[in-house]
Amino acid sequence: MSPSATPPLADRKKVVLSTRAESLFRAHQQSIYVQTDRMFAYLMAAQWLAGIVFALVVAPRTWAGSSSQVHVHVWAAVIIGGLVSVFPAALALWQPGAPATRYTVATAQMLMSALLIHLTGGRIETHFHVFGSLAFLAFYRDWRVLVPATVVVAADHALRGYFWPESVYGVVLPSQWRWIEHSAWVIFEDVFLVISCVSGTRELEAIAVQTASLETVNRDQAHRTIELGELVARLRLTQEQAEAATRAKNEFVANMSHELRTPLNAITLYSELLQEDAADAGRASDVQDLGRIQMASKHLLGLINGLLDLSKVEAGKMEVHVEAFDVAPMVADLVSTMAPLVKTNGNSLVVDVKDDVGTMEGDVTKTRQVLFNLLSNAGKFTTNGTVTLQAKRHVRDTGDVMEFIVSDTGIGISDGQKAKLFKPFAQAETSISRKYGGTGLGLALVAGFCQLMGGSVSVTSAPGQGTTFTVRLPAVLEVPQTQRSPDQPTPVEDPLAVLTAG
Amino acid sequence: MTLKPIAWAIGGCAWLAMAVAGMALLMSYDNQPGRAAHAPQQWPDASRLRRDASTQTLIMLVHPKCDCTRASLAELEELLARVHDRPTTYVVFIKPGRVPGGWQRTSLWAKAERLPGVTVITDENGREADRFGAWTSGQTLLYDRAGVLRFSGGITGARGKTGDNVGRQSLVDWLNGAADAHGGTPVFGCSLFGPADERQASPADAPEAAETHHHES
Repeated sequence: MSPSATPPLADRKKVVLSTRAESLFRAHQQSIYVQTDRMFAYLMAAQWLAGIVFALVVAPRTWAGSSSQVHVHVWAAVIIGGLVSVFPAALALWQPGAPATRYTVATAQMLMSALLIHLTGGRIETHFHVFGSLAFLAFYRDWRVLVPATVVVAADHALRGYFWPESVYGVVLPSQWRWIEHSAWVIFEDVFLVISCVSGTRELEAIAVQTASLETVNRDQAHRTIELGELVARLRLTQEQAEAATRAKNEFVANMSHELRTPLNAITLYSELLQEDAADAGRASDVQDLGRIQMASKHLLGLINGLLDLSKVEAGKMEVHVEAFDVAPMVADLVSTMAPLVKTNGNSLVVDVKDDVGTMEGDVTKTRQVLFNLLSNAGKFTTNGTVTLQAKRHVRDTGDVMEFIVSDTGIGISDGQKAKLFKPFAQAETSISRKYGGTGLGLALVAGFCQLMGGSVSVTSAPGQGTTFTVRLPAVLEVPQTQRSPDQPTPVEDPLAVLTAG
Repeated sequence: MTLKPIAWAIGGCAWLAMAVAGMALLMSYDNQPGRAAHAPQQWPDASRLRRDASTQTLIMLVHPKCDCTRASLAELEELLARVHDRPTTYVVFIKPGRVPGGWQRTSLWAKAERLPGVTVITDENGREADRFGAWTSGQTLLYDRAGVLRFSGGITGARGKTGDNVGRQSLVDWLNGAADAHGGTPVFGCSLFGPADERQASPADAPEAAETHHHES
């Protein structure tokens, strides 16, 4: 088949849906036919029995003087009632759902009406059996079954009305057209039943279309569920692989840091000794070279310490040592250390510590480290400007919060740079590393420590307009001391999760 | 098992034909009248029924256990309700000699007793039925003030069927003075006499006082 002869996918889906809906409709319709056939089988038996009981109650025997015998009506109820009932009931049980069965049932039901009407002497009340039977036949939702039923009723009234009018009308001399009046009332009911059947059939068709559509949706949904499950499995595998790689990296970093620090300490120590010897010997050139070696070694040691700390934070192995300390002296001590460094570029350092800052219960070393890193950065990226350190205490119902604000009037940070500011080795630009130095680990450690201490750090900045870092830490770190032991380090799954960049 | 169309057609037609034939036989039976009476043209002197010369006399002879006669009594009730000048009315319940006492006291007896202005009588051994030449339950006779037979026939249209019919209408017309009564209408009901019952008429026999009931309207 040429590609041009292949119908579009949408058309093929419509054909499949239509075929399935047709199949469902036929199956549902057939089940209704079968179910209704069986109901009529039982109804036939019940009517037969009811006719016999009625005859036995009303006219059990016929008399001739003192002699009697079973009344003809009893035999009629048994024989004619059985004749009318058994054949369609047998068809309904042995051949349910066949068109011939329901047409036979319809005919038999009307013959049963005729028999019952006769046995009751043409009582008008018994005529309701005709109308009830027509309504029952409408259960088939096949209007065609009403045709033989109506024909039987009309023929019965016409023939009996002509030959034995008393048996059907209860009068001897009815109008010869009275059967038309009776038939007209039957047709009157037929009209509504036909409408009901057609409407019911349309509902079946609509249900079939909806069911077919639902099946398609469910099938697609099942496929998507399987695909989603496979995707989740792949993601889980990827996550496990990533976590394993992270663990391996952290272990590698920790091991390597430890292995590197030992020789670096030796290099630093021996270069200091050599420098002292060179100074004593007056070898100025050697002193300068050995100074460079020391500076490089210390820089490398700082880098390795930072890496070690960061890997501990990421691995959740960083310990928190809680102790009570006064904030103001801690800040004063820090400022005395940092002031020379901050003022190197011609900056001025402004310290604003509120009187009510009081004491904190937290890790004083890490708090100092956070502020040290921020002040170091501020001094590094500010020239002839102002670096400000503020400390204040916010009283909260949920627990007091200590806020440290480090701001500067330096070069500032763009929005794009802020997005990766707290990630390891993510200095704003490579050129900055060359110009200002640094490892790119300082802010990552700030973020990690703040997270570890239950706090947060945020930044607001714009290029050329300085930068403000705000650190918020709980005044009382409520993690029990026992949970901060080396055996149970405070876990940090994502040290950057609580960071915000303004 | 699937029935072949031809088998279904043959079977269906045979079934329908048998059902229709059975219905037709039933109709035919129900419209088969009983044996008509040979009633005397003049009131029989031997009858123990009291004839009032001031009114006409209506007699219905019934079998106490004939279910079809229920329709005859219903038609009698309808008839009496429609006439202006009510006749003296008897409903005579036949009691064959071979049956025990009280045999005739059936629901039909009770129904007849409730009819206004009707005298209910037991007819021992069917003597009155014999005197009036009746054979079939529901046989109705009307004698005028002079004791002349004016109507003899049935007042139902078929066996056990109530409703308008020629016999009842003819009597109503006669009693209301509108037209002559036309007897000879078929009588639908059980036979008053069985093969083992003897038709006995004796001038000495009379209705039992204890078995009569008169209900004045």
